[in-house]
Order: sequence, then C-alpha cells, then structure tokens
Amino acid sequence: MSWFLQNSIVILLLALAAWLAFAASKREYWRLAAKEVAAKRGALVCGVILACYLFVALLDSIGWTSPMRDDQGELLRNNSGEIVYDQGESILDKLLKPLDRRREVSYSAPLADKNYTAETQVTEDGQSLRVHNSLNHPRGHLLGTDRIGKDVLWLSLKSIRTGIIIGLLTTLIAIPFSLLMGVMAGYFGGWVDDIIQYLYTVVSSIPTILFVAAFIVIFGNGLPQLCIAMGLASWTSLCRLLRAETLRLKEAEYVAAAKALGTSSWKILFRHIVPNVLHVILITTVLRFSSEVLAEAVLTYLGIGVGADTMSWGTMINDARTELTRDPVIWWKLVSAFVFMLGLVLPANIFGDALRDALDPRLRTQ
Amino acid sequence: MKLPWMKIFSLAVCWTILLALLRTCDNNPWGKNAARENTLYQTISFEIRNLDPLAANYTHESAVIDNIVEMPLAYHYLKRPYQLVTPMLTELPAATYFDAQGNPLPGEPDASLVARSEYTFHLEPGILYQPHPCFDDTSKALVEHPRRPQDFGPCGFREVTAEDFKTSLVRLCDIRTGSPMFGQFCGFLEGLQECRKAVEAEVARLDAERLAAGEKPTALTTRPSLPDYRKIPCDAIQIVDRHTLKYVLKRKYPQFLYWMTMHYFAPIPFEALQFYNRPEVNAAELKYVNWPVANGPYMLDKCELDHQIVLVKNPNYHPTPYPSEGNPEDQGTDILLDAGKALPFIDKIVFNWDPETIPTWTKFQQGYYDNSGLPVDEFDNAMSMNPAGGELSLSPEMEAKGIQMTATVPPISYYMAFNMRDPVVGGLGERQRLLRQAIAIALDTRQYVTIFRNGNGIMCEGILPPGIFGAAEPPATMNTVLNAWDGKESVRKELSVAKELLVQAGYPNGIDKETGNPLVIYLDHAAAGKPDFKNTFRWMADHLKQIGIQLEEKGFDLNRSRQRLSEGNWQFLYARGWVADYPDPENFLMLFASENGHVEHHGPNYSNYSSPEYDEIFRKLETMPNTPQRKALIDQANQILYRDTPVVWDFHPRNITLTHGWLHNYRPNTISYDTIKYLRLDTALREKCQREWNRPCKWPFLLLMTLFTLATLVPKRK
Repeated sequence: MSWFLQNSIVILLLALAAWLAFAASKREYWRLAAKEVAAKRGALVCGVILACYLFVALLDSIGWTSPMRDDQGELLRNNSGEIVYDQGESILDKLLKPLDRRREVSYSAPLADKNYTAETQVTEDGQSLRVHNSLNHPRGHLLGTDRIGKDVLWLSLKSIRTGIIIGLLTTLIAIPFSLLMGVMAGYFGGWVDDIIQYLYTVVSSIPTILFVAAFIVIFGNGLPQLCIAMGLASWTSLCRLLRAETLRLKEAEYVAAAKALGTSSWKILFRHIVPNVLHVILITTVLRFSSEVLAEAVLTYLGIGVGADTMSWGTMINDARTELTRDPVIWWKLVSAFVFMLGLVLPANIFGDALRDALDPRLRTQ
Repeated sequence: MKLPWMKIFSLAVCWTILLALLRTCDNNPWGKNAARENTLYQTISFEIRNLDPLAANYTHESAVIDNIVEMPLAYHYLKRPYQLVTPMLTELPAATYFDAQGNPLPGEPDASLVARSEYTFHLEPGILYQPHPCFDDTSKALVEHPRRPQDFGPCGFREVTAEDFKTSLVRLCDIRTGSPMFGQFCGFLEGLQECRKAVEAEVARLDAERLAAGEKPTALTTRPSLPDYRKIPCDAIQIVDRHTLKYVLKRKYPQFLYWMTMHYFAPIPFEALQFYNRPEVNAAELKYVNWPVANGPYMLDKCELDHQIVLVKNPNYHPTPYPSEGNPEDQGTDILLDAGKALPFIDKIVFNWDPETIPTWTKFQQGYYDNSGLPVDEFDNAMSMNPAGGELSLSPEMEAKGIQMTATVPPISYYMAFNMRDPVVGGLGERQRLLRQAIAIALDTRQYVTIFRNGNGIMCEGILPPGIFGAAEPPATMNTVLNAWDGKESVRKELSVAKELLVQAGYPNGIDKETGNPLVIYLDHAAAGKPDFKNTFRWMADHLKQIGIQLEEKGFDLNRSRQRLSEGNWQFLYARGWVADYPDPENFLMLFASENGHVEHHGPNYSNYSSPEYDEIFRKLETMPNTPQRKALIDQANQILYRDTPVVWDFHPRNITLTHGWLHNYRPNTISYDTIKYLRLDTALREKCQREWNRPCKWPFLLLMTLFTLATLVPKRK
C-alpha cells in the first residue's frame, strides 16, 4: 500500500473519530457517560494506556518516502530526470532508528553482554574453544534480541500497529454489515427478518479459522486480507445483538409517535433506532477488539496470518515454539509478546466494561 | 459401638478398583512382552500410498519396500564410498558397447560412438520367492472372508528366473502401473515407448474379448484385464536362458548399474499378478500394490497403510552372510562381530504410523522405538557442544541412557535458484553474472547454517556434496568466486566484495545505472506457513539491504508456485533441495544441463541454466568412469558453475540419527534402505531398559486414597 493512500486513510479515520467525539460531546447522554468513566480511576488509567498504544500505532501508520541521495549527497535522479525515492518510513521508524541499528548476529538475553550461542574459536596453540562472543551493543537490549539479532523491544513496538489495525479494521469492516442487517431485521420483521436470520445463522456456522484460511489461500497473505476475512467472519454476533435491541426499541413510545405522524420507515430507522443502539456498537467494538488481537496470534501460529515482512505478536509467539525447547530457554521473546499483548488487551477489556456500565441504560437506572 | 458397615464396604470396593488400575498401569504401546521378542520397532511419519515396487516413489515408501524385495545389485553395507555388490548375481555385470552398424566397440569408447550398450546379468540359481498362495494353482480361500493373502492356501514357492525381470519391466511400461520412472527410463532403455503401445493394444484386445463374452463394462474397471507381460515384446530386455538376461540400452550410460539397486527393477513373478487378478481374490479387495510378492529378507504379514505395517522373516531367503570386511577403520570394532553370520538377524519389523514428531520422540526416549531421527525442535535437548573440541555430542542424560549418535552428511544439496530466463538476474551476460555473484556473496550461508540450523550443515562450494566423486575439497578446489580460505576453512567473501561487484555490474549501491531506479529482487516461495520462514526472509532481506538491494517476497500456495516454475515466471527462488538417486556426480551436474531445462523440457534444471560451454563438458563427463580425467572435467564444469552462479549454493545438511544401545550393527546409509537385515537387537537389554525408564509413579494415588479413607472413617464431631 502506498504511503499516500495509507496516510489518507489514517487522516480520514482520525477526522471521523474527531467528528464523532465532537458530536457526542454536545449530547447530555454521552457527556454523562464520559464523566462516569472518568470517575473510575481504573478505567481512566486503562483509557490512558489504550491511548498510548493508539498513539504508537498512529506514529507507525503515518510516513513518507524520502528522495535518495548518492555518496556525494546529491539527489538521485533516474534517466528520465525524476527524483528517486526510497521505500519510505513511518514516524515511528524514524524515532526508533537508533534501536533498529543495534544489530547482533543472533539471540541474546535481555541486558546481556555476551551472545546466547557460542562459537568455535581456535586458540593460538591450536585448541578449539567454545566462546560466547561479546555483543556489538553490550547491555543495549532491554528485551534481548531475536534469532536474526533484531532488538525484541523494537519488534514489540513495531507489532503494536499490526495488533491495533487488526483489532480496529476488523471491527470497522464488520460494523456496517451488522448495523444495517441488525436494525433492518429487527425493525421490519417478516420476510426481511427471515432472510437476515438465515444468512447470519449460515455464516456463523462456518468455523472462523476455516473461513479465514480459505480466504487467505485465495487472496494471499497480508494484513488487509486478514482484516477483511476476519471482519466478514465476525459480523454475525453484533448483528444478533442489534436485532434484539431494535426489537425492543420498536415498541418504544417515541417510535410509535413517529409512526403515527407518518414518518417513513427509513427515517425512523436512522433518526430514532440507530442513535439508540450506538452504545451497543461501542461496547462490542471495545470488547471484541481484544479477541481480534488474540485471534491474530492464533492465525499466525497456524501460518495464515500476516505476511513475512510485517512484525506481529503472533509471529513472535509462533517463533517461541522452537525457542522454548532450547536449553537454556529463550523466554524473552514470548514474554515480551505476552506483556505487550496483555498491555493492550487487559486495558481494552477493563475500559470496555466501564464503558458498558456507563452507557447501558438498564445498568444505569439501577 | 455400631460399625459403619456400608462405609467400610464402599471403601473396600474403591481400594480394590484403585489397586487393580494401578496394577495394570503401563504405557507400553506394543503390549506386555513385546520387548522380549526379536522385533524392531520403526516409525512411519509420512503417508504411504502403496507398496508397489514399480510405482512407490518416496523415501519412506522405499524404507518399507526395500526390505521386501531384493535387487540384483546393492551397495556394500559397511564400505564407504559406496561400492556395488551383487547379492543375486554370480558377477558384476560389465557393459558391451556397439556402434551404429552393430559392431562391438572394445574398451571404454567415447559416448558419441556408442549406439547401443548391453548388460548381461547372470542370476545365481536357487534364489527363491517367499512362500505365497499364488505359486500353488490349487490354492483357495481358507476362511470365509479373506483379508490377507495368508488367508488363502496352500502356499507354494519357486525360483527367481530371468523371465520375472521381463515381467517387471513390461509391467513398468503399462500405463496403468503409474510408474513415475517410465519417462526417465525411456531416456536410456531401448524401445520402452513401443512396449507401452504393445501393452495398450493387448489390454484393449483383452477388454474387447471380455465384453464380447458378455462381461459388463464396469467389470473391466473393478477387475482390470491382465495381459501376459511375459509374451509382450520389449527391446530393452532379452532373456538368454533361465538364469541369464540382458538389458539393452540405447546409449552409453554406466549409471544404469546404480538404477539396478532400486526397486523399480525388482523381479515380479507373473503368478502373483494372476493371483490378485483371480475373481475371488479381487473380490476380497486384495491388490498387488498393497501385498507385493518378492524375494527379499522379509515378507508382508500385515498391511494397514494408515496404522501399521508388519514384516516377518522370509523363510526362503537365500543364505546371505554379514559382510566380513568394511572400511579400514572398522577392523577389530564391534561392527564386524557378526561377520559371516546368516542374515537377517531380526525376526519381525513393525512400522508404526506416527505422524507427529513429539509423540515419536517421546516413545523413542521411553525405549519403545529403537531408533529415531532427531527432530529439529529437540535439538538442544538432546545435543550438547563438546566444550573442548567444538564437536557435536549427546547431552549427558542421553549418554547415560546408552543412546548412540550417528551424524552423517547425506548426498543432499540445498540451493536458491535464479531464473536464468529473467531479464534482470538471468542470462549469461557479464552484468547479470556479476549481479548474481554479488547477491550470492551477500547471503552468507555459513551464518545462515549457524543461526537457523544449529550449525548442522556444511556450506556448499558448488552442487556436489562431500562423498561424491569430484566434490570440492577446500582449499585446493573451492569456489573462489564466492568464498575465500581463511586458513582453516572456506568462508564467504566480505560484503565489500559484493558491493564492488555491484558497481562493476552497473548497480552502484543497488541503483540501476541504466534507469536510475533502485533494484528490487522478488523472492518466490510457497513456504508462508513454514516455521522460521519469516525469520529467514527477514535475514535475507537484511543482508541484501546491506548492499543496497531490496528483497520482496511473493508467496503462493504449492500449486500456483509449481505453475509459475513451469512458466518460468519468477526471479529468485526460495530454498530447493536435491537428493541423490545414486552416488554419481552426474546425478547432480545434470541439474544444470540445458536438456533438463524446467520450462522447456520439464526437467529438474529449475534455474533454466543453459550454457553451451557447460553442456559440452557435461556431455563428455556424463558417462565416464571415475578416472582422474573425469575429475579434471568435473573441476572444469564446477568452475563454469562457480563463475556463472546460476543458483546461490546453500548448504549440505547434516543428519543425526540416534540409536539405543541395544541396536547393534547400525551404519547409516543415505542412498538405499535395504539395511534392516543387518541389524541385531539385544532384547534382554531392551526389556531391562524399558522397565527402568517407565516405572509408573503410583504414590500420589495411594496417598490421595489413604487421605480419603481417613477422612471418611474419622467420626464427625457432633
């Protein structure tokens, strides 16, 4: 994906989020909810952690290509006179460059000053010894290095974007489907309901992993493909929730009043029903977010996850399969992936819970 | 006081059940006294599709079949380099050559003069087939629902005759046999295509006859017509008398003798094919492909391909002594203790289907499998580096169990191919050649082997693995294009050399001088799901980036990847390996002959390398005996390959096999699989070790039960 396209999408999404936040801040209902979440210290801390992750992902999603220079520092031009650009880097890449440059040959433990693997060295009197060589950057790797000598902290930070994108994009792909189908099924009932119910029963009966695997085989390995596949496989549960919620709202007095005034069905749907199910979507998004991040780890473990040049926690866990059987155990990669994933998934869950408490009208009245 | 009889009774029942369960506590997968019997336990970890010696094409299938059939030629069990011996023949067959006019050519004539060569095989008289109901015309089903050939009787047997080799060869030509070797054999044996046509015509005639006799068309597929292979003419083989036969080749091809060690030429008694074609045997779903009849040291006793294959000793196996001499260093060692004793030593072989590595490894450690390859994941558990010598050795725990390790470098070469038809990396132009050399230098194989294979491999100089005639011997003959001698071993040249080559090629710092754009190389692979592929790819990309080249992956599923290969629609190919069919350099060097080009001729020359200079030398050395002249030609061929670098020479893997202390006479053979007959078991030691290593741990159950009893019996406080 070109940087231009990616930057545009990111900015578009940011604008959308800002607009939603602005719109929500004008409403009493959302303002109250925000206050209630802010009053819980745990939820607030979790929110801040989530924001940090999102910020890192954002830094890693905006980037640009730079013109290449030759040895004399002159701009490189190709034969048609155009300036030659490199592959481009995100802001995070630029920030982490010093970390990325600290390369070793292979594994080293966190803060170690010697290599994990010993190498054979022949001494002057002809004896061969197994020596652990000094690292290029002794005590320079907070979380150690991986098989090809990359800093694990760098790997983990670069994986944040993958995790967040999978969590967010998957849900963003699933929401339009579930929203449209859910409210339509609930509101119109009858044959519309029958068809939609039939559809989501069929889709939810296909095992997700099987579906994603088939999708990846057809469309190839990659982050966008993975998100689309997982989004298409996972809209059903939200759809079911929204249908139930709509069934309830349909009986509400203001809907009946709107009907009596002769408002068209679609207008009622978008004026009265959709705004009143938004909290369900928000809660599900936050809660589902964590399960999608975990799903990526499982899928990568099965070899149907992201491509080879994308870092992800799933890849790190997949590598741990062989690393854990070595003696001494190479634990730092698995532990790093675990800690970073926990740092995302746990706050997402706590925050989601707090959000539900704040938004669910039934819980609030009690 | 009234005793709580009900409680006491219940507890007694519980105790009885627990003690009975603990008594039968046993993890032996083979049953109680299995260790005492003279039975070898082996794993099959890949699916076996059939046991037809003419069609089975995989090494794990050969591992079973080679114990059932015996071939006229075989490799000496102990001697290395590999040497041919003649288990079924009176002497090693020699070639006689004829020119186009049919005049015999004496000595070692030039290959271009030879229009025909003949090999005469003199069979030892008195070699018998295994007992089998097919050899008795009166045999019939002994039970109501026969499931094995043994359910028919009585059994007969007969001598192996020259005619059986013809039956076999004509059957190989039958398209219904599905032999994967037919195409390759057509390249050197006379008249196979004609023979295939004759078989087809005969089958058609038989089918028509059966239809005319009123049989239903479906019967032709459920019980295919069996042509009399003995009567169909085939120019490739001539039967001189009962014990003498002649193979006729259409050119000079000394490697033919190596092919005769492989089961594709196994003698087949026509009676066996007739037996499986009998209506009542056919109705019992017994087939030759699952129950071959042969003359080897073992015969099939049980054949459940997805569960277990059991072989038992063939009582008719002709007396074969254990070899009495081996390599010079074998003199006086245990491996010659059995010299002269009659083979085979082991009565029964069980091949057990066990596709997962971890259960297999566990069963090996518990002593239930007698030998095991070493799963890569378990490498560090089982191995330790000897601190003094830097040599691989077993970890102390393994050594304490009496396990022995054998490390061998089998004749396998891994390489990463460039597509020589690609405009950027391919072709024989100077620019592309230098670019290929630069890429190959940047990918430091030695580091790769250290990082990804635990140092278990040898960096390739060229395509020939060590042990094959003509293989590079650094520093005298080595790949000076990519590697340099550092005083102890051959190492990849410095990155600066690669950078310099790029400048010469017109890609300074990876920027194409002609267009001014950066150079991107695309790596084709079908390994997305393989563990470590991602790391390997990142490692390669990093190394190429250091010289300014960008590497991008193009992953496909296996089918798509194959299609791209045959279309020649790719640039750089991820790891590919070649396993030798026989220990001759021709088998490796032909990978670069233009007549084997993959796109044009569907041959194994995947890089589509085509150089008239190389072809000429290859044609010369192809059929030569291993003389110093041949060595010189191989060196020349190697030099051309080094210079052109059509592939990145990768590494020769090192295989590690572990055997338990009770398995004697083990010598790894990486080319043939007929070696079980030489092995001997110390069953007493096996039984003792198995018992020691698998003591059930019973006390937690007894402790729990005691606590439970006490808790029940202690009266409750009021």
